[in-house]
Amino acid sequence: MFCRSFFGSQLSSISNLLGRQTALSSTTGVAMSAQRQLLHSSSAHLNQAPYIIPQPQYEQPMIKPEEKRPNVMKVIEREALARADVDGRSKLFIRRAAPKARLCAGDVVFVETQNSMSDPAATTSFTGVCIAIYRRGIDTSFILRNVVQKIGVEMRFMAYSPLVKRIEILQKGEGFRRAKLFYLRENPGKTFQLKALKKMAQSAATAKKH
Amino acid sequence: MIQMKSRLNVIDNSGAIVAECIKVLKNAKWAEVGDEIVVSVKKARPISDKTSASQSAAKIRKGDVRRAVIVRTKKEIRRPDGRYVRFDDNACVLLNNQQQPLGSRILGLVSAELRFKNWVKVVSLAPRVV
Repeated sequence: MFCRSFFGSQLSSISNLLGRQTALSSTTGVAMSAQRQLLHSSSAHLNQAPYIIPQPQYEQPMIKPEEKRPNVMKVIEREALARADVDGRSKLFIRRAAPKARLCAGDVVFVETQNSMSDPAATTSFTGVCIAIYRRGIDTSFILRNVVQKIGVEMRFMAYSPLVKRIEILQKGEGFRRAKLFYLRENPGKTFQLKALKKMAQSAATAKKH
Repeated sequence: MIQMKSRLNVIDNSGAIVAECIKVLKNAKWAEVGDEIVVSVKKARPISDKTSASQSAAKIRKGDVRRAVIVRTKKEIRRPDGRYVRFDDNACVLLNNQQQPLGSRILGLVSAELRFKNWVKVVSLAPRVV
């Protein structure tokens, strides 16, 4: 690597400064943080260059202490998740969270979405029964199903999209023994009789506005 | 994903009930919400003499060939923010030669994609847009 050879002599001194971090991180981790420190320390001559080096948001890479050889992609995923998790919605998708706080298949969920980044006030809301959750880190998504004017509508939301303003569980589902409730498309029963919850959703929307 | 031979529900008050796609009017095999297609009416409401005399709206009979715009699809549609929308059926609204809806009312919900594809009249007639 070009940078490593260039800053070769300085790297060893920096890695000594890092101390405990060096022992546990891989060489990639050390090189990444070391380079960042070097770039910022010698930024005097670099500021004349036609590019801007942004400050790192997380000074230390998010490496767990038990990871001897951390995977770069995992670290990047964790940082992306931490960056996107502005209002703590990741608690909905942790498998080991308390049953009340966790989003399960069968819960009645209210989602408020911004229509575009340019106008934060223009929002659309959708209420529905969660029939599937795909836990994929930053690409976590869930499908809500509702029957609107006698037509079934399903909407799949990306949980960590900045356009998704609010995810609220209106009612916890009971008696659903599956992770994916696709059978509800053919056999809905009384699942989608959500008129009472529509009022709850509207009150949730107005309550949040005030 | 509507193609030739796909059957769609007609959700306006033009008289047609089921229409079959016979041509996708873009250089592609499949049509999505907001695309124009040519349909042949397969099922229509019976036209009595009284109604035909009173209304000046076009009389749609079984076997008529008309243009239509797709308003709902069972295949999920991707929105730019990563959302996907799916409806439980495929539905269309019949059009006249000036790309205006034939019927005067739309019964049922339509997809919001129509707004982005400039079907203003259809969106304004629809009781609910999702």
